Order: sequence, then structure tokens, then C-alpha cells
Amino acid sequence: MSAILDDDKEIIVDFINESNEALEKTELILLSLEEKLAGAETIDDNDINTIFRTFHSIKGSAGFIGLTRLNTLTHEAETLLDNIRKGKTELLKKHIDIFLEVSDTLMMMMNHLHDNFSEEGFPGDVENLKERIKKMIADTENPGETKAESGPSPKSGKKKKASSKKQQESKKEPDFDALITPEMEKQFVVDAQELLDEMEQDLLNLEKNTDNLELVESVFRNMHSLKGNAGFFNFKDINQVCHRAETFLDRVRNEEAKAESNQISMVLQVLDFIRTAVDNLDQGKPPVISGKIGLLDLMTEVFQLDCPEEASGEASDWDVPSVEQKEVPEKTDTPEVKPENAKKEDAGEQSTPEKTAAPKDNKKPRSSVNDVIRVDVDKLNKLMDLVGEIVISESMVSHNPELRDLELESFEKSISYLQKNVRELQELATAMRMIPLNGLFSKMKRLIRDLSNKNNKKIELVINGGETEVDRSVLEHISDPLVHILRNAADHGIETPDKRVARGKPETGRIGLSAKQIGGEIWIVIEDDGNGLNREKILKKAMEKGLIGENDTDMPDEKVWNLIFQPGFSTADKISDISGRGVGMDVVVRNVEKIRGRVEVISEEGKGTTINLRIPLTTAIVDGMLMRVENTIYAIPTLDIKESLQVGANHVVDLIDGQEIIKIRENLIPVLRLHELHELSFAPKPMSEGIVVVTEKGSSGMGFLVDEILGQQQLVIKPLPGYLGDIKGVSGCAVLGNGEICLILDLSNLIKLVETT
Amino acid sequence: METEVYEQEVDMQEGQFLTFMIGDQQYGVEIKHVTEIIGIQNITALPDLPPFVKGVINLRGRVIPVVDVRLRFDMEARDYDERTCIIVVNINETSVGLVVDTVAEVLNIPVESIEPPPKVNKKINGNRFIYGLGKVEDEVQILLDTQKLLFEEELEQLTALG
Repeated sequence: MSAILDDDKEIIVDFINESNEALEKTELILLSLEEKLAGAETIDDNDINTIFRTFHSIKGSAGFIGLTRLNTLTHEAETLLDNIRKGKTELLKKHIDIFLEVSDTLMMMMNHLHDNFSEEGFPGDVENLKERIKKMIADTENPGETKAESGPSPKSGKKKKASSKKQQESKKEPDFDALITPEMEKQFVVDAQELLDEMEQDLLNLEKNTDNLELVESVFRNMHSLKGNAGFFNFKDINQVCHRAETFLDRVRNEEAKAESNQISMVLQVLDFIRTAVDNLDQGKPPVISGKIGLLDLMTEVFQLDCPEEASGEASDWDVPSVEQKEVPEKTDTPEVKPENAKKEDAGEQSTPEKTAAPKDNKKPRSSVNDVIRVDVDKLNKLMDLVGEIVISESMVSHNPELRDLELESFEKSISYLQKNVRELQELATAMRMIPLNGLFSKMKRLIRDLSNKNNKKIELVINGGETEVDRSVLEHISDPLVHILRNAADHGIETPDKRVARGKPETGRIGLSAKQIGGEIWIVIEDDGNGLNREKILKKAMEKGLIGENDTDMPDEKVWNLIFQPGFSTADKISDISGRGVGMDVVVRNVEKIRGRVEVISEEGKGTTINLRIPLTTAIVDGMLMRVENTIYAIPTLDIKESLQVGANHVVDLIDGQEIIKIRENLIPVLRLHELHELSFAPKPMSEGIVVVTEKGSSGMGFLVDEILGQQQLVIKPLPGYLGDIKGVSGCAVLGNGEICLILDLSNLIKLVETT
Repeated sequence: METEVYEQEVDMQEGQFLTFMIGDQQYGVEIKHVTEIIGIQNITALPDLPPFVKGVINLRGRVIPVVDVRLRFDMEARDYDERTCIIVVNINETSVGLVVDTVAEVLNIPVESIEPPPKVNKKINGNRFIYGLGKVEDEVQILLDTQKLLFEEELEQLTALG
């Protein structure tokens, strides 16, 4: 196809740009139509017309350029839509599913086209899709048949759904595939490989030190994540194998079983099997584990899992209504996986390779080819570093001691010009790393859609403030927490429709996801109107786990809610393949704290739960107060500082253990000496010679004694070199204008250290 | 073509050692690990670290840790002067500065001329960081194992003593 003229290329690129834009809109409309359909709301003819126009114009342009496959596919889709538009048939969920699939396929084709300037060699099975659309058209043109299948009450969405269930089920497989974009699968592969690597490392360490429960916990957590991901994608082999390994690890971490070298090698072997499956997926083959049955049997034997327990474990997994199981009805009936079933299942997966294979070879759809370019994050980070260095070198020049006493009028002018430009450059570089939350939020839309389908619940996700921008690194860190919180809200928060009705709530549960900027923070609020947290249950569980004592039962609500963020904590009665083992929530806190954010929970039993993630605008810059202790410069985030003052000797109380307490107005505040904590000096100084900086952290505030306050400054945070390991109470460092390094204190951590010792 | 040249360069670096002085003794490190040599500069001390880790420096905006080789060898500390240098080495993506009395020269020592360190040593710690002994003309150069110099744990040292 090298014969294509540049003019033609231009036309094709224009065509791709326009189509992609239109297709993105189409996808959103389809999703909203689906919601309306589920809520039995009236369908706006305009929406249908918009989609029709999109397909129609793609068809026209494709025909003009000579792209036959695109042309014929859109033609079929258009015909089906036309029938719906003209009222020949009622719009059903299956139609929306297939339109979504068409739109996904079209985007992939656009992508292929962009890379190759030809539709030849596009790996997706367009013919298959076309056939299925044709069949639907045939159905619609033969109303008698449709009626028989879909039931007679077209106006009531709910009834229709029930009566056409059978038909829907048969259509579910393509529906599910359509939901999984190649991008998501790529991500799954990357994630899985990462998890496998981590687990392998941990297991190898565990082999050396079999008593280390922390390592078990870590492997368990990763295995659980992998299982959850595989379950989400319906990769049953991986899911099952992970589940069994996880069951064993769960017992080890609860000290009900012991991981000897034999078992550890077994787990390692399991990882190898999973890795092969994941590699298969990466190469576009279905992620099946060959010899799975034997492997599962061997695992049961080596892990000494007694069958009844395992069976019930499996049963609870299969209890969760999932798309896949309905297809293999024997499975729901027989909890234990019998070889024949499993074989069938394997065959089932193998029969759909073209579907799984099709999306994989394609990069994700691009929204617009021309006005946005993709930049390697590494380059962006390097740019950021370089800008930081320019800021520093600028200040080295302008504050150069050799120039201090000289009268340099024109030089001063040049310097101030330079300073202005450097500042603008810095702002721009920072802004380049800001990304709106929209992308992340819309992924959640699909997550909730899948979960509600899977759990037979009705959930509406209401999104607000998606245009709020956050730093790239922040976005990376909140994506996992958001998924975990939303999964929990959908799985455990929102009740089943009948239960909701019984409680006098609307049948459809509501999960709100909103973001807004408040001061220097972004607040991401996830609220659901579901079950709410059960105080008694949490307290009971916490006591079982030994997290709290008998006497702690009167603790305030906030503290009770925070217990759910402890590792291994779950009040769920049953374990599903998505959530319930109490893993997720501790990940939430850990990730959010990594970016110096906070998590707040408000909940009322029976009414719902609100989780608020308070996240700093950027992880790269903090507004810090600089202070000197001996020769070291420290910084404390300005937001955390309440006041700083000089304390007279008469205000200091010395406790017996040497802890000093100062009295400010009516408050008693403990004071820490950084000199001692960081072993900078051992010569005790009277407190009146220094300055006490009072911070808001800790139960009653905490004071820090420093020698001098140097002022306030925007600091570009850098992590400490990994070589040094964790340094207590220091979260990072920053390079100051004069080239010196200041240490940024991690107050919560520092206080935790002091409180426990 | 480019990769060939690159490989050649790596090949040329093979067998080359940067030598430096600690007291009167000359030591060498493999030059392929060395990224640059800088003069001594302001070191920011950090709490909670073994004594031989002096703290961190600002290397053109990058914050890197520095290790005092004297202290690493359990030798007596010495005040830094204008001849004191920091050799920046990079191993496994980690950059670390090595504080040495002064930098000497670059030596070419072919593999055949390098012998493993002797098994006997009066000092308990003596051989821990030695990669080999290089024979150059009449002199013997002590060649250090950069990896061990940076990463070998204090703990192992203690168990070795016990």
C-alpha cells in the first residue's frame, strides 16, 4: 500500500479523526441508552438518530475511500438501527450490546487503519459480527419470532428483562467480550506479570525464612489481586488456580497451616503455569492453563486441603451469579469441578479465540491523532527534573556571592527576565503532568456496569467533577483505591433490589463518584446509599482479630470505621471472586498515604457509606516551612502547622520519663526534640533557646523543637535514594535554591514512631 | 553499526580500573561502574544509617547517597580537604558516591593479571570487599568489588565475626 498518495493519507487521517470522535460520543450515548432502558425510561429518538448518523457517515466515507470491510459492517449496523428508528422493533439490551461491540470494532479498525493506511490485515472477525447483526435484523423483520422470544410486555423494562432472560443469556458472551477493551487486557497482562514477579520474589525469600508471615500476607494479597483481575476478565483457569492457591495461603497466614519448602515450590510451580497462561494472552491466545485438572488435584494434595472446605469455597465462588456460569449450567448445580465440566469449559474458551485474539493486536483507540501527541512519561519526568535544575541554577546565578556588592543595572534586568521565564517554564512543566480525572472515572462506569450485571443488582453511578485535574502520579495511585472502594460499594454496599424495596429504598442503588478541588487538595468522594457499615459487626470482627481489646467497644464511630482499613479485615459473609477477603481496603489506605493523602469514612447503618479521599493536588510539590536543626534543614508541610512560638521555661513540664510537655493557652502539647530523635546532637539545650513548631497531627497536636525557622517555600519533592532504605519520619527531600538538601518530615509516621516506643 | 561501536566501548572498559588512594594504599574499582568524579561538597546528614553512609548530596538536582570508603573499611575518619573526591558509581540503576582521599589514575589490567585475593588474612574484615589482586609491572593493585562495597550488609559482617 505504499502507493498511497500523501493527499489520500490526509483524507484517511481526517476520516480517522472524525470517526473516532464520533465513535467516542456514540459509546457514551449507548451507555446512557442502556441506563434508560434498564430504568424503563423513554428513549430519546435523538440519541438513536445520532448513532445512526455516525454509522451512516462512516459508511459513506469508508465507501468513498474504498474501505469495503468498514463500509459493509457499518451498513449492517445502520440497517439494524434504521429498523429500530422506524419502530419496526423495540430497542433491547442485546441491541445495545451489539452496537457497543460494533463501535469497539470500528475504533480498532480505525487504529489499524492509522498504522497501516489499509484495512487489510485487520485481525478482528468482522464477518462474524456482521453475521450476528444480520441475524438480529432477520429477527426484527420477523416480529412474530421476536415476540415469542422477548415476551409481550415491551413497555415495562423490568418484566421484559425477566421474560427475555433466556435470549439475553445466549447473547451475553459477545456482550461481555465487548466490554473488555484491548487496552484493559494489555493492562491485565502487565499487572499480572508484575504480581507474578512480586510473588515469586516473596516466595523465594519465604523459602529462606518460612516463619515470615508478612511475606505470606504479601503473596496472599497479590494472589488475591490476580484472582480478582482474572475473575473480572472471566479467565477461569487462572481464576480457579489462583483461588486454590489463595485458599492455602489464607490458611498459612491464619497459622492454620504451615508452608514448608514442598508447598512453596508448589506455589512457585503454580506461578509458572499462570505465567504461561498470561504469556499466551499477551500473544493473542486464550489464557488457558493446559493440564489444569491435574494441577488442581496436585495442589489439593500438596496443600493438604481437605475437600469439603475446598468444595464450599468453590461453591461460594460459583454462587455469585456470573455471566459465564449460566452458559454452563451444570456448574451451578455441582460445586465441585468435575473433569468433564472443566473440559467443556476449556473447549468453550478455545472456541472463542478469534474474539479474544482480535482486540489484542491493536493498540488502544486514539481519540484524536493530530492535536494530541503521546509523550513517554520518562521524557516528561526528565523534563520536570531538568526544569528543577534550571530553577536551581538560575538562583545560583542570581544569588551568586561574587556579584553581591556590584551595581549591575543591566544584569539585574536580564536576571529578572530570566527569572520570569524560568517561573513560566516551571508552571508549564507542572501543568503538562496534570490530567483530568474523566478518563479514570469513565473506566469506573464500566466497572460498575459489569459488577451490577454480575451480581444481579441495579446500580446507577453518578459522576461529577470529572474535569478536575490531578498530577499524573496522583492518578496512578488513586486508580487502584478507587476500584477497590467501588467494588466494595457495589458488592457489599448496595443491596439486592428486593432487599432495597423491603427497606423502602428505590430499587436502583446509587453510587456517587465526585471530585472537586478544595484548597490545595482534591477531594474524591465515593458515596453509596446501600447497607452502610455495621458497627457491632466490625467491633466483633476486630476483637476476633485481636485488633482491639474488650474495653475499646465505646470508641467513636470514626475510629471504628477506620478498622476496615486493617489488612485482612472483612465482615463479608461470603467470599466472591471479586472482593470479600478483606484485602482491598488496606491497599486503599496504603496507596493514598503514599501520595500524602488521607481517607475519611462516614457511614450510617442501613443508609449508606461515604468515603472521602483527600489528596494533595500534586505529589511533586509541597508548600513547606523550612527550619534548621543543628546543620540539617527540615521542612514540614505548611498545611500541617498550627503555630510556632518561643516557649518560656515556666511553660515546660518535664514528665518522669523525660517527655517534655508545654502548655499553650489551655492545651498541653508534647514536644519532640528532633536533635535527639535524629541523633544530631546530644547536648541538651533549654527549650527557650529554640522555637517550638506546633503541628496538628497526633491526638492532641505535637510540638517540634527546632533551632531556627528559615521561611516558607514551594518544594519540589524528591524521594530519598532507595539505597538508604526507610528513614524514620522522613518522607522525602528537596533541593533548595542554594543547592542544599532539606529533609521533608513525615509527621504521621514520626508521631507513630514516638507513640509506640 | 552503532551497537557494534557501543559493544567495543564496553569491551574497552573491561579490564580498566579507576584507582584512588586511602591513606598510602591504592585501590581500584572497575571503570564500567564509574559515572563521574566530583570534588567534595556539602553532605546532608541523615539519621538512622550505618556510620559509613555519610548522608546525601545534590548532584545537579539528583539526590544521591554517599559512602565514606575509609569508614567502610573501618579505618579512622579523616577531615575532608580540597583533594578529597567523590567517585560516583552506578550499579543496578543505583547511583552512590564514594568518598575517597584522592583519585589516582586509570589502569589497564588484563584478566590474566588478576588473581583472587589470598584466603589468609590477619584482619578479620580484610578481604570482604576485594575482587582480586591486579599485577601491574612490579606493583600489586587491590581491586575492589563495587557491588560488595555498596551492598554487603553489616549483618553478614557480624555473623562472620560470631
